[in-house]
Amino acid sequence: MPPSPLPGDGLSRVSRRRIAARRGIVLGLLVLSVLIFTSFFRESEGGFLHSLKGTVGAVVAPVQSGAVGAVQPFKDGWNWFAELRTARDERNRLQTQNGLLQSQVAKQRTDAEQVRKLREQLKIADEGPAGYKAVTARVIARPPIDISRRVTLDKGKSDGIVVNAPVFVPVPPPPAIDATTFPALVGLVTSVTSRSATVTLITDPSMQIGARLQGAAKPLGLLTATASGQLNLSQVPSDIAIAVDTIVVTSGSGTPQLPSPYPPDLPIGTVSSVGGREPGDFQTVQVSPYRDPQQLSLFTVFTPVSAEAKRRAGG
Amino acid sequence: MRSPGVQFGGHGPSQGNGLPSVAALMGVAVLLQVTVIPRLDLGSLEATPNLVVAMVVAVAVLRGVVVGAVVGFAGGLLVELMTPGDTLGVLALAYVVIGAWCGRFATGSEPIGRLLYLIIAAGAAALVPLWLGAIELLRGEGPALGYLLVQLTLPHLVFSTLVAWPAWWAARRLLGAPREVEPWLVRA
Repeated sequence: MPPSPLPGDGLSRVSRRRIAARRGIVLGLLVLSVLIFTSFFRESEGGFLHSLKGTVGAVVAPVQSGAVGAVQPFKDGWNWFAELRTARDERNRLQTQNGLLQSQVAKQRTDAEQVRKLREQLKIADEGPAGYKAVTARVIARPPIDISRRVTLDKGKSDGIVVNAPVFVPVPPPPAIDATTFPALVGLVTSVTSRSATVTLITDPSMQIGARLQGAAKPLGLLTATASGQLNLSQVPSDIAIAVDTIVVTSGSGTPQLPSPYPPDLPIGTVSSVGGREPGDFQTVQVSPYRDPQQLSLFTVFTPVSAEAKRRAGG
Repeated sequence: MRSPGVQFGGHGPSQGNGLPSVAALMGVAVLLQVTVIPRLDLGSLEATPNLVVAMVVAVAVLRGVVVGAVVGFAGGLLVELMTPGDTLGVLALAYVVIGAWCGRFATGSEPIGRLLYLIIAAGAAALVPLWLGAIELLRGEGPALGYLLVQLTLPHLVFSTLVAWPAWWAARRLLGAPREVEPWLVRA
């Protein structure tokens, strides 16, 4: 039974109280939200809200990791189905092969692609920079909207991952390099829990990486990303001639007190265009990463092993 | 005048305010949002469906301002706690506003239909990347307007509208017809 209406002033009083309470609750939640997000911006990485976020992330990481495994068969099934449709088209066009064989070929292709990816990961484990150990990790979480370019990996402190560990993916090498793959920088571990790690990708605007052209003796400038994810190498002297497709690598330079977390000479991307004058005889160079890190689901984290690598991560 | 659909706390379970169902719906939506949905392969588009905002809108239009604001706050906060973004409370603030505003439809003279819900959910979903873009702009790292509209907002709107229908179907099935529920308020 709905409450029976109250006559006259009583009804107005109830309505007023109800509306006031409703507004109070909504206003209270708004104020609480503002307090949370301003406090989160102001506090340090070790603050209460950051710790709370890390703790919740660590608790939910196994669930997210399990979801990755649960979804994978469906993704594989979809890929198989998509390739099966392609195979059927081909069967009709060629009129020589039957549907069963085509579906087997399609499935084998899916399997082969998985094998290739795993081989790439194993290869990179052998070709990482000296002083580091490679840990392969899967992406288990992403921001709901990619304005902030970060991902959560399914490995953490228990696997040796520390804050400031550089993160890579294997990419096909240019013709000049005799190797199956080589590691390209895609991010940096910026927070870690026992079972998960958050990686800030190189396309996040908060990232700054000292970079130079491959083979050049001096650091060239500072690599940053725009909010749209475009990589720009700024502070480049305008008298330096730069060719398109030149490889951009980490400079690895810092100060004794504040060393760069990135080992030197690790590829980041290639020069896509040169343009953009800056004040003081500088120019800006646009850089294309080897892989769009937001599209990747497997990463290789280089965890520091040697004293020099640990010093870099500590910086 | 009191709206005819308003239900106060203190009513027995026979009338049922549906709050356990609301909690279950939001819990499932948040869980899917932080686990399965990021795994969907949507090509090179930098957006994923926003099931949580669709569910906040659905619950709000079925259960009113207070429930809408509370589930918006909880949903936004949980998603930010469980995902690797560098903000906390920003989504909660946006979802409180969305939930509270959409809750006004629960006491309307005409029950809200599926089409109107989809339009509202799409609009709410479109506001989220714009809101996050504005926050980034205040922090000095705002995206270009074209990128924000074309690369983020538009796909976010489309994908979120696609998941809004199942969210509406589940919410209607569990919660029934729209009516305002205010479980924290006492009768005079």
